Parts: sequence; C-alpha cells; structure tokens
Amino acid sequence: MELSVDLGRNLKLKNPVLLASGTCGYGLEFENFYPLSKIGGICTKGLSYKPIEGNPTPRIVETSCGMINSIGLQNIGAKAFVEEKLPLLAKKDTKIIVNIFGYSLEEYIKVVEFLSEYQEIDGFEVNISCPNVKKGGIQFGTNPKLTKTLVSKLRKTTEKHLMIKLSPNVTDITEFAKVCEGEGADSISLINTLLGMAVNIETKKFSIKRKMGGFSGPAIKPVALRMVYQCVKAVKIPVIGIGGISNYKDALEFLLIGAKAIQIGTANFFNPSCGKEIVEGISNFLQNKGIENINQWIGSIEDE
Amino acid sequence: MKQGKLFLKNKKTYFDYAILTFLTEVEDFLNVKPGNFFMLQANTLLKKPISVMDCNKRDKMLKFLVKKIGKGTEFLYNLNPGETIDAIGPSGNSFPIDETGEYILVGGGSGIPPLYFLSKQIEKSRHTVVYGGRTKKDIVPIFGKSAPTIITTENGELGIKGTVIDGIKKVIEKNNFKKPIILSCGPEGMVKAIKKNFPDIPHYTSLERYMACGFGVCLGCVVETNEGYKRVCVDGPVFNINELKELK
Ligand SMILES: Cc1cc2nc3c(=O)[nH]c(=O)nc-3n(C[C@H](O)[C@H](O)[C@H](O)COP(=O)(O)OP(=O)(O)OC[C@H]3O[C@@H](n4cnc5c(N)ncnc54)[C@H](O)[C@@H]3O)c2cc1C
Ligand SMILES: Cc1cc2nc3c(=O)[nH]c(=O)nc-3n(C[C@H](O)[C@H](O)[C@H](O)COP(=O)(O)O)c2cc1C
Ligand code: FES
Repeated sequence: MELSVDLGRNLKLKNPVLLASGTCGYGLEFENFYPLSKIGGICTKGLSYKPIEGNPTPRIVETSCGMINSIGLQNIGAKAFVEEKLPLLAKKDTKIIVNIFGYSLEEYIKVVEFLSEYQEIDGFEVNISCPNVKKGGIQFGTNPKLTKTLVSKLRKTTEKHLMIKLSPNVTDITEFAKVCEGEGADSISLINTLLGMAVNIETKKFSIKRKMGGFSGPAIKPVALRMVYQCVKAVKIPVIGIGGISNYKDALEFLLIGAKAIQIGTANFFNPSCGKEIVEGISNFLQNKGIENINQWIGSIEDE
Repeated sequence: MKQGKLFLKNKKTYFDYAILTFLTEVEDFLNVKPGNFFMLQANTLLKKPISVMDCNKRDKMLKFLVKKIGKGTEFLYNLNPGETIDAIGPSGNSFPIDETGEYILVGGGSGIPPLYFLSKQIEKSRHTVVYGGRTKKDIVPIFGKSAPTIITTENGELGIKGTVIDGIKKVIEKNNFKKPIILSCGPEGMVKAIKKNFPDIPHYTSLERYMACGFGVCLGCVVETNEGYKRVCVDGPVFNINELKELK
C-alpha cells in the first residue's frame, strides 16, 4: 500500500495525515497515545518571533457539533521553540511544519528568517487567517493585496516549503488561493476557523470573553469541503484540507475531491488517538477497494 | 496518561449527584493521585473533566462523583451499569501532602470528590474534613466514619448552620493545630472567602476551568498566575493560592 504524497519543494509525507496547528501543541503530548512516526507530520502551535500571552479567559465554549475558541495565539516564541521543543521533536520520524504568524509584515518575515536556519524544520505554514487577534493575522488573509505582498516577501525570505493557510471569512476564497500560487507559494491549506459567537441565557453573558471567536469541529465540515473543492479547481499547487475531520471517512471525502493531504484539528481534543486511527482507516479502506496507491484516490471524484 | 475504556459496574444516585464505580483493564488509569481527573465521554463533542473520587488498584476500580448541571453531566448521571465509556487520563497534578502535616480539607458541592480520595490517602496524619453545602441535598453521604468530618449547611438542615468558614473556625478551635494547611476544592466564591478569612494559613486549592482537551494542547483552560498564564489541566488543577492572580 502506497500512502505517501508529495506536496512539492522537498515536502514528501509518508501519508496524507497531519495534525492541525493549535490542536497538537508542539506535538510531544501525543506520544502518550501513539508514536508520532505513524502520521505524515504535525503543524505546530502558531509561533511568533516573541512569546505572546494570548487572550483573557474564558477562551473556549462548546456548541452544537463544534466549539468556539479565542486563544489569541498564545505561544512560547520562536527562540524558546528551537531551544526547548525542536530538539525533542526532531527525534521523531515525522515531518515538522512550523505554523507562523506576525502582527506586521516585518514580524512575519523576521520569524521565517530566524527559523529558516534550522534544518530540522521541514516547512512553514503561514497563518494569515486567525480571527482571534486584533491586528495582523486575518488582516493579511482577508485583503488580497496584503496577501500578495506578504507571500511574495516570504518567498524571497525562505527556501523551505511555504504553505499558506487561508481564511474562510471572505467572499471568494479562490481569489486568495490564486494570489498565493502567483507569488510562489508551494501549497495552500484551508480552512482556518469561521468567525462565530455564543451567549449564555442564564448568566446573560457572552460565553467567551472576547465575544467572537473561531468556530471549528464537525459542524464546519460541509463549508470546508466546499471551499477546498473550489480551490482545487482554481489552482495547480497542492491543497491541504482542514475542517471538521474526525474519522477516516471524513478524510477520504477531502482526498476524493482533490485535497493532497488533510489536517485534523478539534478531533484531537476529544479523540487524541484519531491521527493514528485515520491513517489505519484510510489504509484499510483503500486495500478493501483494491486501490494500491493513494494518489489514485486523490481527486478521483466523478466530476462532469 | 492514556486513552481507554471504563466499564460501569455500579451506580448510586443522591438527588442531583451520582456516584459511578467503573472497572478498567487500562493499568495506567489506576496510577492516580488525589487531585487527578479524567476526561470522560459524555454524549457531547468534547469530553468532560471529572475528578477521581477513589481508586483501588487490586479491584481495578475507579470511582467518580458527578453533579448533574448540563448536557454532559446529565449523560453521566443517567449511565447504567453494564455500559462502557471512553476516557482519557489520569491528568493533572495532586495535592502536596506529607505525613507530619496538619490538614484541613475543605470541600463545597461537587468539589468534594478529590478530598474524599485525599482523606483516605492521609488516613494516618492529622486531618479534618469540612464539607459545606447550601442544603441537605448538597451533602452526599460519602464519608460515613472514614474521616473526621464537619458538615455545614447554609439553612442548618444538616451539621453546623453556616458556611465552610464556620466549619474551619471550629476545626482550628477543637484540634489545636500548630501549623495547619488548608487543601480546598469548590466554588470560587468559597475559595476566595477562605483566603480572606484565613490569610495566614497556607492554602492549596484545586481549580475548575472549562476544558477542551484536558491534556495540555489547546490552551483553553489557562489561569493567570504570578508567572503568567498556566494550564489548569496539566500545570494544575492544584495551585498554591498565593500563586493565583485571579483570586486576589
Ligand atoms: C479539573 C476538574 C475536575 C472536575 N471534577 C468534577 C467532579 O468530580 N464532579 C463533578 O460533578 N464535576 C466536576 N467538574 C465540573 C464538570 O467538569 C462540569 O460540571 C462539566 O464539564 C459540565 O458539563 P455539562 O455538559 O454538564 O454542562 P454544560 O452544558 O457544558 O454547562 C453547564 C454550565 O456549567 C458551566 N461549566 C461547564 N463546564 C464547566 C467547568 N469545567 N468548570 C466550570 N463551569 C463549567 C457552563 O458554563 C454552564 O454555565 C470538574 C471540572 C474540572 C475542570
Ligand atoms: C483551540 C484552537 C487553536 C487554534 N490555533 C491555531 C493556530 O495557532 N494557528 C492556526 O493556523 N490555526 C489554529 N487553529 C485552527 C485549526 O488549525 C483548524 O484550521 C481549525 O480548527 C479547523 O479544523 P477543525 O474543524 O478540524 O478543528 C486553532 C483551532 C483551535 C480549535
Ligand atoms: S484543556 Fe486544553 S490545555 Fe488545558
């Protein structure tokens, strides 16, 4: 059974299953549940050049088939990451994709420049789509001109694989996909969380402190599937599908419509073994169908 | 910490509370300390954090006390013997204890389970439990004669009429403790009141926060401490009260 997929520019995954940024910490906690070598790779918690405290609490609330979070990109900063986490992570036989962001163009460049020196990092995922910070992040991801400038500058900054993570909080996501491709991005990943809200009728308060937050989980899967399909049609670079994937069947749906790989987000919280289970599930499914190479499945939807 | 199954062997209910006794084949599940909790499957998307009330390695038994307050805890309350659920744990740190200590264990409402477990572990050292509730219905009869216990209810239906503050005063008066230490778990209002009334007594409390993962990766459960945000699920749930900015 051949499960490996090639995302371009030296990023070949042993299988198409990645853990999504912000839902797997810096990866090591998952070793309690299965060896990281089972999965294609991990996308680390979003890193900025300097550490960030994050938003006030409450930061999370559960909703029907999903959750809303407003973590605010709390992270230990790039320097602590390479000193404390990267050496341990590099021992694991899996790809390390470092998710990065900044509050300004300069900060994005600075963190990529700094991290590009480290051989152990296999690629970057650039978060231009976080709905949980006042400035930066989503500004870049909802304005095509800013996206263009950012991707073009980052392309000149690093030789490593550059995956751009798109925001669903726009009218036409394909516009952004095309801009990324045009400026030399190697792949795009989508979707980040949808902007959402929850209130409590007993306490008459907003359920999370910053009122609005990022909506994720099984509830967003149909929206994600639609957007991934639209982007697969719009660009030639690999598209990585994210949004509500909780089991191997969900993953196979994204691959069927043309996603080259998938990321597991919220499902890691309620089923931390899900990365391993999805790889096994995909493998068994393809075997039963007599399909020897996953690339025969990817994009094979009957599409007139 | 592991993910695995729990088989419900026995259930007892008491008003809105249920005591659930599970059996498990997962050996790591049985390496628990007072203060640890599990994320339990509960017919909601996210699992629900519930403290360990008791554990017996030989019988492969884990016990929890659950108060019905929403969809998830109602599912647990309504589970029937013979049913199996998925769980993740044990998670979290535990109460600091040593054999020479003089302890006042203070629990309110559904905060009592970790203190029951704790009182069994420190059977030989000097300690008294203060267990407070609004009414009789909030006091689950779990202790029996297993530990010296003072009960307080706000309407006086059971034990001393008043709050846990009155209970703690009574313990201090009666036991002649030299260097008492308070170990608490309960509503934040209760914990704040203890801090205000007994500012000089060392005090460790087990916090509750809304949790998504329960094993340290989502950063949803953080609490503000003197050293910045810490994760309640893995850096806690037990904290020295002086460390916590939010309870000042
Ligand atoms: C470390 C830890 C140990 C716990 N141990 C126990 C225990 O031993 N026994 C027990 O009965 N309960 C315990 N709890 C509380 C229990 O986890 C919550 O009551 C439960 O998650 C509520 O879920 P629900 O779906 O029933 O309610 P929901 O429908 O989610 O919520 C009902 C109401 O409770 C509030 N709420 C929900 N979750 C929490 C939470 N984690 N902390 C505070 N308020 C919350 C909501 O904001 C809402 O107002 C513990 C919590 C933590 C964090
Ligand atoms: C608690 C939480 C934190 C997140 N943090 C980040 C982050 O730091 N960077 C990022 O690019 N995406 C972040 N995301 C978005 C996820 O990576 C993913 O795109 C989104 O949750 C949708 O997938 P899901 O429905 O499978 O969760 C976060 C999501 C959650 C739930
Ligand atoms: S609940 Fe996820 S980090 Fe604590």
